[in-house]
Amino acid sequence: MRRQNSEEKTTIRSKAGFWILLVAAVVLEATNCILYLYTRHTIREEAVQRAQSELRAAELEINAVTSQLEAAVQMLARMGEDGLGDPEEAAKATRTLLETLDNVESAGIAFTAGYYPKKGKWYEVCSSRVKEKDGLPYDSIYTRQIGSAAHDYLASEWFSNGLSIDSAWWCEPYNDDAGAQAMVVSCSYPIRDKEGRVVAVALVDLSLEKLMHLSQYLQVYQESYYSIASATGVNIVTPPDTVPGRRYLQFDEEIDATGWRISIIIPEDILYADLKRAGLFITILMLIGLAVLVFIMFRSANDIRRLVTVNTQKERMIRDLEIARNIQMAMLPKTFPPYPNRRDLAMYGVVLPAKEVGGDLYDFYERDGKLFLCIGDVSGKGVPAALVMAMTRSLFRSLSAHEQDTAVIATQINDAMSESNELNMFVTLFLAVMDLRTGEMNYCNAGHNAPVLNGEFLPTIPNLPIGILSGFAYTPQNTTLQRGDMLFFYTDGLTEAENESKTLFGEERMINLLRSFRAEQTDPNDATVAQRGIETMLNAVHAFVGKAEQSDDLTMLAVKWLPEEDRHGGKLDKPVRHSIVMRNDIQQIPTLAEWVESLHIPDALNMTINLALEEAVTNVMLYAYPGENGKVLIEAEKTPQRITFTISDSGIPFDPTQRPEADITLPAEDRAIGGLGIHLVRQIMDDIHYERKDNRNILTLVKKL
Amino acid sequence: MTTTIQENGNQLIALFAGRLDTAAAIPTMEAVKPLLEAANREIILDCTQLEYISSSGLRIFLSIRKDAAAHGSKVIVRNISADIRQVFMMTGFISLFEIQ
Repeated sequence: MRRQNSEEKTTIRSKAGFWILLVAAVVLEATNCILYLYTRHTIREEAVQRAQSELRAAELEINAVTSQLEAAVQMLARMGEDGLGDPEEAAKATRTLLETLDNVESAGIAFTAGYYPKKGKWYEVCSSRVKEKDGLPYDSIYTRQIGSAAHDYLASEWFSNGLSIDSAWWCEPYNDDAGAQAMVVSCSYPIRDKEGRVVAVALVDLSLEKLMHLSQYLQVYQESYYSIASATGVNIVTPPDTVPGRRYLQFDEEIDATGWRISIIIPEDILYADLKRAGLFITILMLIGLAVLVFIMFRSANDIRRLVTVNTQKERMIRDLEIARNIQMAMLPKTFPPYPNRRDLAMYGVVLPAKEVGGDLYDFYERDGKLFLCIGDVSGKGVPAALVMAMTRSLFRSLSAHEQDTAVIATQINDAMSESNELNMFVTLFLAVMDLRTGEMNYCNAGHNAPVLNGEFLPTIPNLPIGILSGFAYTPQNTTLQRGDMLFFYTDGLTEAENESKTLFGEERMINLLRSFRAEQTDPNDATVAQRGIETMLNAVHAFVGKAEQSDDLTMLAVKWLPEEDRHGGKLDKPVRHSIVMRNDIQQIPTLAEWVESLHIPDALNMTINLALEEAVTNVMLYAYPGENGKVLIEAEKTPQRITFTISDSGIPFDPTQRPEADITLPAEDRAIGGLGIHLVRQIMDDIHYERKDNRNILTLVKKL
Repeated sequence: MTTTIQENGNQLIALFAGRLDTAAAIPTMEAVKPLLEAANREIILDCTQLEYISSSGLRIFLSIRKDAAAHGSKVIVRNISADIRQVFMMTGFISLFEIQ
């Protein structure tokens, strides 16, 4: 579930990343487009301006040349008119014109057919410049007559129009095969005789080479073109063929004097080449930027994911700790009163766990009329402390199952713990085994806080905490409790509870409170005293600590040994006593049945009590006196509540409670023949208790009635 | 305490009467010896008149059960009283025997 959530989170996050990326890309692209279009517009505007200004400049330039040539042709016509009397004068006139005007390349005068009869039908004189001779620069004027049948100018357009148009007139470009020997445009002017008849045409050529030279700055861009067309649309300067699919910008200007149209043609790709390069560059930059953005976002998404993972791991660790805590708490006996049928025992315990998993523990159980008890505090916190605590508790359980000496138990727990103490953790532990019949208490303190007995610290030898020194021999202590005594066990979570001003609760406060609580008790048989005592202490600690945070586990356990028979304050019943002495001979067993019969035990219990007693007595007969004769004393003490049998003998030490029990769950093939007897005794009796006293084995069996 | 063994076809019937306590266990063990060697028989332990049984008696029942199984015989416990049923319960014998 949690994992699913984090996956959703990741998806949402990557979605957000996707949108950020998309918006960034769109904004960048839009900026790029706007910039591109704006620049394109500016470039176009600039191109238009430039083209128009260049066109005007070209027009002026061309106008200047053409008007010079127009003036020249008029001059030539006048010279021609003056020299009509002599055909050679016309040739001279053309030569004179070239000699006079540097910018005229060639000039000619063509006469109408047979004007000078001596010269024949065709008579056209012309002069042109020779620029080189034999490959060397050479400046000379070459004058000659070029009219002939081969060069029949009479039919040409310039001639007929030149005759008829009474002004300077520019003809269409043509190939002057005779005069200039190149593509030329010519300006013509009619020559009239004294009678006013047109007899010849004066002609000045403008070579296209010259024209192209003039108009070269129409080339506004390196790869742009220009063209010049005559009024009728014939190209004077021809542009290259247009390429299909290529777009062109064209700007035109008409030259007023000649009617020519000059055009500037700019292929758009040339115009925008730089822009395109810049656009490409910007696009590449943009893509790099986006890639960097993607990278950064991916990195940060990874960081976030790592953070999420770390958080998840932390959550899991906290959960694990909670589980550890729960397992730990589940190990501690928490049902109070623990033995509702026991009238002689009032117990109450509480653990207040700190926020972190601590290592407090307590445990107790009753076996054979004895209360086995321990309380301890593992150094450190967290899972290791919980583990050590669990280990300590399980060692206590297993080692105390066959041992009643707390010092031996402590020594064994210490050896086991020291052996595997890689964490260098130690446990302060207080162990006690309390005989609930006699009040005898055997205890051993392994570095723990001394318990309080009736408002006074129990004298303790501190020994060493568990887990510090392997092989350390723990010293036991003994005391005898009186009925009505109350023992209070605790961990340092109580005495070291801190309030907000860092003051400790302390032993003095604890002792004083226990004493005043004790003084307040009026009923010595009140079974609720244990719980009330703990609650009083808890309230006092809570009041003392206030809002300060609890830093350590706080564990308390109260044990009150009550008068047995009279727990409810009723009259003491006088017990009825019986006894029988038997030899250690199993043939005596039927006598035992008869004796049990005489005790007037309720019918429902008669057979089972008889059985338990038979099994216990048989054990003594079989094992207490190996190979010799001996006696067994069986005593019964009967009250309306219970019947107590005491089986005693003076044989060798023999504790039937230590005998292995039969495992009754095994199949027949695996079942041992023995062990059933003691099992039956435990099953039937409410309490079984052995002690060796004054060289006698004393086995006590109690059955509630 | 008396133990009588009857033969009925493939069946061997042991009739127990009285109190099977520790003292009675020794002669009873002697009396049931033929049952321990019986192969491929149906052994019936008739407890109609059995008043009481202790762990020594239970041990005899367990011996018969183990040896019978080893010899391919089958053991059936018949007519146990409420008291004896209680003992069978406490010791887990209730699940070791077929009880009629």
